[in-house]
Parts: sequence; structure tokens; C-alpha cells
Amino acid sequence: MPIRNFKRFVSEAVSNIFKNGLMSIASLFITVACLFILGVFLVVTINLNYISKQVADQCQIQVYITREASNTGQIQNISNQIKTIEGISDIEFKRGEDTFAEFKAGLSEEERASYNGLPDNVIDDSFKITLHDISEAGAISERISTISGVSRVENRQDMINIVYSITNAVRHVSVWIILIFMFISVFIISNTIKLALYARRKEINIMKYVGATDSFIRWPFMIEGMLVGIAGAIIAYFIVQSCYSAGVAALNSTPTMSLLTLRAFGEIWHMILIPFVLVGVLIGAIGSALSIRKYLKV
Amino acid sequence: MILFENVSKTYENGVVALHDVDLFIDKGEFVFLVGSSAAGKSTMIRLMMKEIEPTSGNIVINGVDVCSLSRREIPFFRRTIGVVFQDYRLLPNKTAYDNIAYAMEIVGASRREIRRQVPNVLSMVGLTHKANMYPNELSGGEQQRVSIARAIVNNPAVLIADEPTGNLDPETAKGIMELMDDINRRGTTIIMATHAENIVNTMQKRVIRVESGAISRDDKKGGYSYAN
Ligand SMILES: Nc1ncnc2c1ncn2[C@@H]1O[C@H](COP(=O)(O)OP(=O)(O)OP(=O)(O)O)[C@@H](O)[C@H]1O
Ligand SMILES: [Mg+2]
Repeated sequence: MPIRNFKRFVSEAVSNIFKNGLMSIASLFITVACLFILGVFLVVTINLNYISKQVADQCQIQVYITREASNTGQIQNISNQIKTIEGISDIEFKRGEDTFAEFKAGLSEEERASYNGLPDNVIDDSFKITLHDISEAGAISERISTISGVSRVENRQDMINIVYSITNAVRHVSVWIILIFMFISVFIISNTIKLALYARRKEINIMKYVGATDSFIRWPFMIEGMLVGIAGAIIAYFIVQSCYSAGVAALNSTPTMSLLTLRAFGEIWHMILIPFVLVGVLIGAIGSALSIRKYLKV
Repeated sequence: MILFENVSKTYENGVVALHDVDLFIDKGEFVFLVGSSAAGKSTMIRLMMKEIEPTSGNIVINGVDVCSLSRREIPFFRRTIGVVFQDYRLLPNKTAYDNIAYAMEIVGASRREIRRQVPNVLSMVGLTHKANMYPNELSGGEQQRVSIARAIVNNPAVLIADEPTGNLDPETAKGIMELMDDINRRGTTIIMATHAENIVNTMQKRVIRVESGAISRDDKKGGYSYAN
């Protein structure tokens, strides 16, 4: 496409956007709505991945050993037995005194006072075990508890299970919701464009009669669609940004979120903006090209 | 140069619009197509610009076998003929000037050529002062002048017009015909379908009468009716 034509097409497209104001606004509105849904999907997915990573990092098992075993020097032996179990990435021994000291360090002055009468070795020695895959926590805990010298195995399986089932459920559901929504959006958008073009089919007809080639007619329409797509992407981006910031602020003030954090918008803005612009441009261009095909057959 | 050889056209719904038409129009001629409604005049014109395909037969325009043109070649073929319609068919979002310029833009004319040629044809059709008006701000006669200007701006060898004066009062129609005559005198072949009896009678040009899909009369210097 010669530069001269490109300039023509762009100015043609821009003037058409304003001359067909109502249809442009309708297309813009639908693009924004479609991209907003995509944005919700992106934000949810990004944060679910982030949360499951946090959960995975907290995916540790605490194995307490009997005082008798500690005193008879079986710690190394128990550690070796644990290491033979598959799925363990790290094992760390911790003396009971250290655990107690750490625990007390996390308390306030007054709270700490109430523990002062206790001996230093009130807590048993333990192993802190990190797993490769959090979903194996239950099975591995069970195997470890059969080792002699182990008094008790603590894992946060209950919490892990809850977070995991929510994550999985949301992931599955959101994929379906998005697929369905994308389908509906593409349908609505291409129909909006078709409607817009129906009003302009006479115009297209005239262009054909005067001897314009298909691509000469198509380009301004496609550029028009792309420009509306970009505008929609930018509007949708700012809507997502403000909703996200408000949503994160609200969630972070609830007690359930004290253990987990959500990503700040500043960290993920490009993961929203880039797909938005790409999808917006694509929807506009493909939507226009597909819808105009019918009217070019004159 | 326009040649029809055994051209027949049956529409999809079974209506036989043309039956075995032979026709030859030489370069530089001015030809009226007359005949009652539904005779097949518009069908002939739509065949000439390849808006529709003949069911059988051959059509040659300016040496181009129209029937064998591929889809991609059609735009380039259409640029060699100017077309004028009863309902003007101007782009509503463009001014008179831009409507004419558009026809030059599609053939890849430079800005300079456009700036030189468009005012030329605008003054030829007498609309220099209305160049920046939109079609809905112009009268029917003025719109038709713009559409004629658009049709001739690329100097086509052939100008085809389907009832160009159909929506105009006799006085305005007369002005349009003077313009057409002018264009013809510059060497452009003109084919014009019309019902306007007095126009045909005063112009004294070749008249081809179409009746029920066939050519019933062809007079070198004719009038509208049999009596002439
Ligand atoms: N697109 C079409 N599909 C089916 N039949 C058509 C179509 N266009 C025209 N016809 C039929 O073909 C015949 C010739 O029509 P055409 O338009 O060529 O007549 P015409 O001579 O131009 O008439 P008028 O003077 O009223 O404009 C008519 O019987 C008409 O009904
Ligand atoms: Mg007709």
C-alpha cells in the first residue's frame, strides 16, 4: 500500500468514525464490555497463579519427634528415613528450644509474660519439610507418621485443600465463562459492524461502481475498526484499573486475606494493557474485514 | 466501441429480460436507448458495466471481452467507463469536490493531478461555486451534474447513463443534455437510456428502441416515436 493511500485511508477512517458517530459509539461500547470481561479473566488468573504460588511456598509439613528419640540420638536416623520418601524437596531440623524462642519473639510483651514460667524445652524437636507438590501433603504426612520416633505430624492440609479447590474451581469456571463470553462478544461485535455496514452498503456499492478495488474500499473500514478497537482498549484498561484498585483495597481489609497477598496493579498493568490493545485491534480489523466481505460482492 | 453478440439475459426468477440481442455502437457515437417500462434497457446497461452476467452471448467494450473478466479485473474495467444513474449515487459523507476527487483517488492519481482536474470538471458542469457542499445540500439537477463530473473526470472512452434526467424538471434536464452533448463532442461515446420523448426528439441522435427484450428499431437520426 503506497504511503499516499495510507494517509488517505487513515483520514477517511477518522472522518468516518465521527460521521457515523452512533455506530462508532455502539461498537466502542461493545468492545469495552468485551475487553472488560477479558480483563476480569486476566486479573483473576494472574492472582490465582500468584496465590497458588504463595500457597505452594507455604507448603510445609512440621514433623515432631518424641523426646525419647531426641535423647537417644535417633535424629539423623529419622531424617534419613524421611529423605527416602519421594516428593520431598527440603528437610530442616529445628530444636524445640529454637521453635519456642521464635514463637515467643512473635508475641507482645504482655503475652510473652504468661509463658515465662515454662521451661525452654517445652516444645519437642521437629523437622520442617518442604514438598515438591502440595497435593501430596496428606499421603506423605501419613507415611512419615509411621516412622518410629515420630510423635506427630502437622500439616496445613485443611487450608491447602480449601485454597486449592477454590483455585481449581475458579480456573475451570472462568475458562468456560470466558469462552462463552468471547463467543458472544465476537458475535455481537461482528453484527454491530454488519449493521453499521448495512447502513453504508449503498456507499460501498457506489465505490464499486466507480471502480474502486476491494482493498481500496476495505482498508478505511478496517482502520476504522482498529481505531475503535484501540480506543476501546484504552477505556477498558482504565476501567479495569480503577475497579482492580478498589477491589484489592476492599479484599485486603478482610481477615481471610491476611495470609495471602494480591498483586499490585503497578506490577501487572502491562499484562492487561498489551492484550487489550492486541485483542481490540484484532477484533476491529477482523470484524470489519469479515463483515464487509458480503457487501463487496457487487 | 460497444458490441453485443446474441446476448440473452434471464434473471434468476425466470424473467427473460433480453433475448438474442445484437448491437454495435461505434466510438464517439451518441445513442439513446428507448422503450417502454420493463423492456430491458436497464438490463443492457447493467450488462455493459458488468453488474450482471449475460445468460448467453458476448459483450465487448473498448476491445475488452467483458464476460471473461475476472473478479479482480472488474474495478479496472469499470474505470474505463463512466456511469450516471437516475438517483445520482453520490457518497453522502463527501462534498461535491470530494466525490469527484474520490474517483481520481481510486485510480491512484496524485494530489497535484486531483487539484488540477477536479476544478476543471466542476467548472465544466457549472458548479465551481458549490464545490464544498454535501449532496443533501444540492438540488437534484446539481447532484446529477456532480455525478456526471465524477463519471468523466478520468476521461473514460464511454459514458453510460440510465435515465439521468428521470428525476429532473424539463428545464434542468435540458441543461444536463447540453452537458452530455458537450462531453460527446469531446469524443466520449455516450449511451443513454431514457423515457424523455422531447429530449430524444430535439437531440436528433441515433435511437435504439427496445421492446420485450429485443431491439425493434434502430434509427441513425431518430425521434422517440414511430411517427418520427
Ligand atoms: N434483478 C432482477 N431480478 C429479476 N428480474 C429483474 C431484475 N431486474 C429487472 N428484472 C426484470 O427484467 C425486465 C427488464 O427490466 P429492466 O429494468 O431492464 O427494464 P427497463 O427497460 O429498464 O424498464 P424501465 O424503463 O422501467 O426502467 C423486467 O421484466 C424486470 O422485471
Ligand atoms: Mg430502467
